[in-house]
This record gives sequence, C-alpha cells and structure tokens, in this order.
Amino acid sequence: MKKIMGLTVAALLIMGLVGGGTWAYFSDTESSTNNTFTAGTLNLTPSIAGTGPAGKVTVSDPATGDGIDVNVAYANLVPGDSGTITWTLENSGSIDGDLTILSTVTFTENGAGSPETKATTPTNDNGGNGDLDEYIGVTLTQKIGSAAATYLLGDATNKVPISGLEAALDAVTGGASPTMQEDGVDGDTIIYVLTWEIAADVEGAGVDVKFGTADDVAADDNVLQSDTVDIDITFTLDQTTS
Amino acid sequence: MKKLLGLTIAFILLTSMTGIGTWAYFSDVETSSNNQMAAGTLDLKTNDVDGVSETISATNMAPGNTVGPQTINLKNTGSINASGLDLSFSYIESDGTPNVINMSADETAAMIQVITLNYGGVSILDSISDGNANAYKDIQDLKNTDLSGLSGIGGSSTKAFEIAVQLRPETGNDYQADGITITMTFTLNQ
Repeated sequence: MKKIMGLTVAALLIMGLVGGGTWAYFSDTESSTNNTFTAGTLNLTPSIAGTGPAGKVTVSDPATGDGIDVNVAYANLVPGDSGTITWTLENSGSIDGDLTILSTVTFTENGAGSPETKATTPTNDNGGNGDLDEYIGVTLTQKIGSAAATYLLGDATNKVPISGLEAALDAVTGGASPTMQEDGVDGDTIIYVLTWEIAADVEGAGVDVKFGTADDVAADDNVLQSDTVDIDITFTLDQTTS
Repeated sequence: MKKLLGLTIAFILLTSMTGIGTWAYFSDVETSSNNQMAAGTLDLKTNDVDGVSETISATNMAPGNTVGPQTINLKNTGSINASGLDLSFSYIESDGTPNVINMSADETAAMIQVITLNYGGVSILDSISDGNANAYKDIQDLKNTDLSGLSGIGGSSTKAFEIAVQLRPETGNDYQADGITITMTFTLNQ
C-alpha cells in the first residue's frame, strides 16, 4: 500500500515540475521606425538664348523648361553678320549625372540663283552641300559651374569653319563627359556658347579669309545666298556610374 | 540544419547580384532641335530678267531728234533689303556707213544730251557733272560721273529707271554716220 502511494506521489511531483507553462523573466522592447527608402531625382533642364543682327533672330518660346525643344533660328543672314547661341543646362535633381551630347549638323544649298552662279572665286557649292559649312566661322566653349570656360572648337583668337561643329559636340561623351552636380552644388549648371560670324576671321584650308573684311570681293560672297545650316542637339544626363 | 539553411540563403542572394544584364538607371534626355542659320538672297532683275539690251536705241537720228523716255524696271527679287544701287555707263564707237568724217566716241557722246534721267520716280539729272563744260548734261558726262551709292531697293520691291536723250540741234554734218553703243550697268548692294 505504502509503496504504491509513494510512487504515485513521485509521479505527481515529476509532472508538476515538467509542466513549464509561462515563466516570468525580464525583457525590454525597442523599435526602429520610419525606415524610408526615397529615390533621388535626376532632372536636366535646358534653356536657350540667342543674339544676332536685329530682326533676324527668333528664339523659341518658351526658351526654358523640361521637355521643351528649345532653339534659335536666324533668317536673311548676309556676309558680316554675327551672333551667339547659348545653351544653359541645369541639373535640377538631387543626384549627380554625366552629360552626353549627340548632334546632327546639316548643310543645304537650296538652289542657286543667278548671283551664286556668277561667282568664280570660289565657285558656288564647292563642297556639294552649300557653302555655309566653310564660311561661317565659329568658336564653341564649355563652362562647368563657376570654373572658367574652355574651348571645344576654335580659340580666343581664331574662329574655325562650322563644318567641325558636329564632331566637337559629339566629343562630349565617355571620358569627356562632364559631371553635373546635384542641384545647389557648384557644377550643377553647364553652359555651352556657340559664337559665330560669317567669315571675317576664319582659319582653315580652302577658306577665303577675305570674306567679310574690307577688301573682300562682293561677287565671292554671293555663293552663300539662300544656303542653310541646321543644328539638332540631344543632351542626355545619366546617373553617374562609379 | 541551421547551417545548411544559412548557406542556401547566401547562395541565392549572390546569384541575384551577379546576374547583371541591363541595369535600370536614372537618365533624362532633352533636345534642342531646328536651330537654323539661313542666308538671305539679293538678286537684281532688269525687267524681270538678268540683263536686257536695246533699252534705248535709235538709228538715223537727225539733230534735234529725241529718243525715249525708255524705262527699265529694276527689281530686287531677293529677301534682303539692298542698301544701295550703283549706276555706271560706258560706250564704244559704233558708226554707220559711209562715215566720211569719223568723230570719236567721246565727241559723239558729247553731242547726245541726256534730257531725262529718273530713278525711283526722282530725277537724278542734277547728279551728273558737266565734265566737258559744254553747258549741258550729255552721255560723255554721264560716263564720267560717279553715280554710285544711290538709294537701295527693298526685298521684293521695284524701282523704275528712265532715260531719254536728244541729239543736240547744233550737231554738225561732220557727225553724220557716227554712233555709239552704250552699256548701262546696275549694281545692287547689300
């Protein structure tokens, strides 16, 4: 009798010990809230300005803005005319970007009137694509932020034929891509200035350097009549790699 | 068990990171197209063609005969306003037969008085200097006067040029069969 009771008591005790249930113990809880992920912005904002002979300059309206195709057009140009086109590019976003330029510069003859066909030195349409490619002299500068402007085409004393413009613009790529800083940091703005004149001071093989100067021959200048040059530029700002 | 699970997770992460392919990245593209430089035109037409002849001609002129006024319409068919017109006259001897006594071209020209010379509706006779001092304006005087820098012609505009001449009444018999052919040159400048 006693042995059975002892065993039973022991069994009860063991069961009581094994039933763990909920123990009280110390604890402390902390939280990490407002973990937010926000994407930055990369936003290229172009604007344009143009100077030139009175009554011959048309600047696109508006001249500034996202998704706006800004441009400057000149009409009725004559030997001796000159002007500038300024493209101001701003990174109005919050992250840095690398700027790439791609351009197409097209020259057109547009038919030869009688004054053009009478020219002999040089003859009209000598290169087969009109004559403005040779006889508009240009310089192209690039100014990054507050740094001094540097020449991409021509230099401080010489203009060069505008036929070299496309290659100079397209060279702004790869290792030569300037970085546009995020908005508000010096370098968030890059300015390109094209300074042009109809050949008063052009250096280059095959170009009549007398164009537009006091001793030029009017009959030579006539080869430019009705010719056009069209400039199309695409600016791309890419998130900076590395 | 835990260790195997840990390795598997790490492996999956690594795979997704090395599968580069095309990354999406931010970029913005803007354009400046249709920038254009266009040269204008300046083209002078005389009576709507390039160059005319026999504007004013006469044969068998007798002293006192008048020829003209004849008109040439000078049109700037270009897009640019021309600021100035230059006029110049030249002549060569052009005699008939029989020319018993040969007078020179200059002498003959001196006997042909210019009685009308209009440009743009305004007389420019006063611009001719009487270089040979014979008290009237003649073709020789016209040749020797600098008539450059007259008023220009606007784009797509026309100005009329008129000329009339008279063989002087006192022209003597020595001038019989003598003659000249005159070339008038119009230069329109930007």
